Amino acid sequence: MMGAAHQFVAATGVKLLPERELAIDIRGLSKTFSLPAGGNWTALQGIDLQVERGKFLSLVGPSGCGKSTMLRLISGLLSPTSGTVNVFGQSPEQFRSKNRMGFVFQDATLLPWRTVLGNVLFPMEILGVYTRKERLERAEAYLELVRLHEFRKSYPAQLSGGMRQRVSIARALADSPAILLMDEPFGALDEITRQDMQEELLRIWAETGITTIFVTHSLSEALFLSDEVAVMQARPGRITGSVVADLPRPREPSLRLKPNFVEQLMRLEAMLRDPDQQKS
Amino acid sequence: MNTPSHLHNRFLTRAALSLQENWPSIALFALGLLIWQYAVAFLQIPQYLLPTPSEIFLRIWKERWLLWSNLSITMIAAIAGFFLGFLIAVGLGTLFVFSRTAARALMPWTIIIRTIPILAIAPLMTIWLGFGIAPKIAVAALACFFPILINFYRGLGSISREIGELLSLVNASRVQGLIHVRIFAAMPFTFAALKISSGLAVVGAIVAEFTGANLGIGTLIVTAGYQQDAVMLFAGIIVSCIASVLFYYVVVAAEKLCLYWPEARMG
Amino acid sequence: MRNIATVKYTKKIGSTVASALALALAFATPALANDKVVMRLPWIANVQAAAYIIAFEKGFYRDAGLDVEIRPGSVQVNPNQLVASGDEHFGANDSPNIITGVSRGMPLVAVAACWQKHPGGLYMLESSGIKAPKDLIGKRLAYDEGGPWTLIKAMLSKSGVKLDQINTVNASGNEVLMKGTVDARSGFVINGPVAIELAGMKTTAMPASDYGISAAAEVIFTNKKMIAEKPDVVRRFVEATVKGYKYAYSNREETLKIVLANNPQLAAEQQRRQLDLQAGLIFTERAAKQGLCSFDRQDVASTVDVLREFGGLTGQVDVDAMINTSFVPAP
Repeated sequence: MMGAAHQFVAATGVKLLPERELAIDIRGLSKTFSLPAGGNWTALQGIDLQVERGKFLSLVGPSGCGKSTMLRLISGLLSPTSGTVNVFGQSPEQFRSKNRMGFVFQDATLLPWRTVLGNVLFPMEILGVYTRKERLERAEAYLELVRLHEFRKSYPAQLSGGMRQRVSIARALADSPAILLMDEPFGALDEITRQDMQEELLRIWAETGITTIFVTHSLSEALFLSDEVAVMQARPGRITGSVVADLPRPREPSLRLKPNFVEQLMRLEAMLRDPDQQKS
Repeated sequence: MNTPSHLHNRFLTRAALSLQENWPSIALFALGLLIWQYAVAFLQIPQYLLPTPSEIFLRIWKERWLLWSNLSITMIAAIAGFFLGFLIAVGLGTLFVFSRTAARALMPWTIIIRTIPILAIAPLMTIWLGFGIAPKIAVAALACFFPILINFYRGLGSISREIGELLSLVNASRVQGLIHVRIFAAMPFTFAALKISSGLAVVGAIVAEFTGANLGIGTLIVTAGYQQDAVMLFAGIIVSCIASVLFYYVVVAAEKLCLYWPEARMG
Repeated sequence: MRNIATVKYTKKIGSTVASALALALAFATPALANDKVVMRLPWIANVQAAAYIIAFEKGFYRDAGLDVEIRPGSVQVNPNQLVASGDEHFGANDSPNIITGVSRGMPLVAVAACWQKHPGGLYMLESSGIKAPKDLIGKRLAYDEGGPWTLIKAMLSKSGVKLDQINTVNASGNEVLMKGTVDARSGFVINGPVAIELAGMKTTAMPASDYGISAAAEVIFTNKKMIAEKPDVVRRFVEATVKGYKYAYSNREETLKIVLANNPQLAAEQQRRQLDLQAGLIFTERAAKQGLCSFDRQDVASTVDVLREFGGLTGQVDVDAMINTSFVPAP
């Protein structure tokens, strides 16, 4: 079944794009909100960010640094005030009109009146993609991938928080998106579940090869998962540096205890605390 | 599989279970009736001030066909008004979701309509709509439309920001958002209102009968009042209460059917 | 000067005596404790209640040693229950209403029938051309359940018109008539038509009393306990009220002024015309001969018969037990 899921990915147009292509290309991006009480709030200023296809990038930073806003600009839910966002060479809206983008929210954001299977089917049904039979096969395949196939007939309220989040990951992946955006997806989970979910996510990422932008508060989570970690600061929201993770894949759980991991984690923490010590 | 005896057994099990759950309220009700019965006798309260439950229930039994024929007329009007009010409320609520201008323009009017006392509007309805069932349906609809509208509209807007973003991400049209998401989100709210409105519809139909009708339980109550027939007055009130309660439970049954997913039902 | 407000009737004789003594000592004037009674009107305090209001305002009740509290009625409040239960002492209603209450076991006793003719009847627009009961055949008639409807049914029957020859519909208000939804309606000929006339339309009326239907309105009643225990209070109340009737209708402008001052929400012109129409129901030939508010057993018995035939009256009514004609003053 997991092989089948991989085939669906291969069947999208993404495969035809050249290797080492930029999946995401952000230049000079700023985003300003006007506040209801009057005045403006600069959420992001002067952002430059490039992500190659198939990479796993994390955005870390304190609250209010604009991490979530970044995801919403990349997905086209928000438009930039200035600068450009390109997704595979197109604007996010253009890209989304023909291609898929998966989005995983902090809360699972499932529809409580739909079964687990119904929730995974939801985006494909709304988009009207694939035949009914194909949609069902895909949904079941991705439920296998997140190990929830036996719960396909359950309702969200009958699942644990971790299981619900896995359903929402299956939903984000089921229509073979070219990009997966995750907004603190494990933030509400307990530590054990969180670590399990991290390993599960890495396994799925490895199987699908999907370009992933992952927003988190947790430096160790970011480091454990990512090829690259971008550090952001608030007021105004900006990227102050990034670390390319020098860690082997596949990443084993024991990696979190290795001196190499801890050393890079400390470096990240130092960057977060002292923005002037920027290194790349 | 489902042989008649099987179904019969299931019914009995259910009845036993419901008895087990509800015995405190049943016992309290019975105790209340008992106290009423004996207090009236003990305090020598004359019948024209407060009849005993036994007198009332005997009268209900004696006049069962008269009560039933009048009650059914009232209930048909109440149920028709309930559905009319429901349809108007759902129609307006849907319109409001699609057009903020319509919402801004019409919402104050619905609130004004809400503030009109039913008792004052009922005679006007008789004048405008003539006699017979039409004014009763109109008053019943008027009585229940507002709570349904407010709750339905609130329910349609109750989806989280994230669900809204999810809809944008899958390029859902407004109609798709309504059919696949908002309607479902609104259902628990709507049923909470429908449960309230079931009673309001019956009251509305009865009030309409107070001011202009030849038949119906409201007419029966008014006549009993003029005849200073306290037993009949209570009989009319009690059967209309029973009908209201039954109607309420029909709505509860419909709710159970429609809100099939867990944790959907509100209070 | 005697101030009735300072002398309150209490049930405890001891304290009454004590307070009377105290007042007597304090003011050195003979102070009698007035009998405090409650009078419940069948309707709001408008010209319909003119006699009671005048008797109160002109001090007739006070002079009779009564401290009367006049309480208005409404659609929801029937004086019958309040007087029957002993909560209140006197009430007024039309005779069919009192008879019905008696048939339900209420210990009511009628003591004065002040409107010897009942105002119940039909009224219609003059343009309808309806002048007699027979003209109603095939027409639409709006009625209110209860009220004068029974008397109207009796009137129609006596005139040879069957109810199923008319399209009857239960509906309230003058609007149905003015709008033309119906051709005639039931009501009281003293006020229903007045409102329409004031709106600029001509009306005609058909009171049931013109067709030999016997019933009285504004019948004063009390309960059996009062008759047995305080007949003197009853006598003084009836006498003072009759005095109120005489004064009110001999001084109509003043009466109108007082009634309107009591209840400024009333429409002056409507009240003026109603008061004039009421006079015709009160100052009858019989009143001139036998006295204002007079009545007899035969009146009540014949109303009972009408109610049995047309009003669904089934309960026992002992006419002799429910009337006491001895309180009405001679003319």
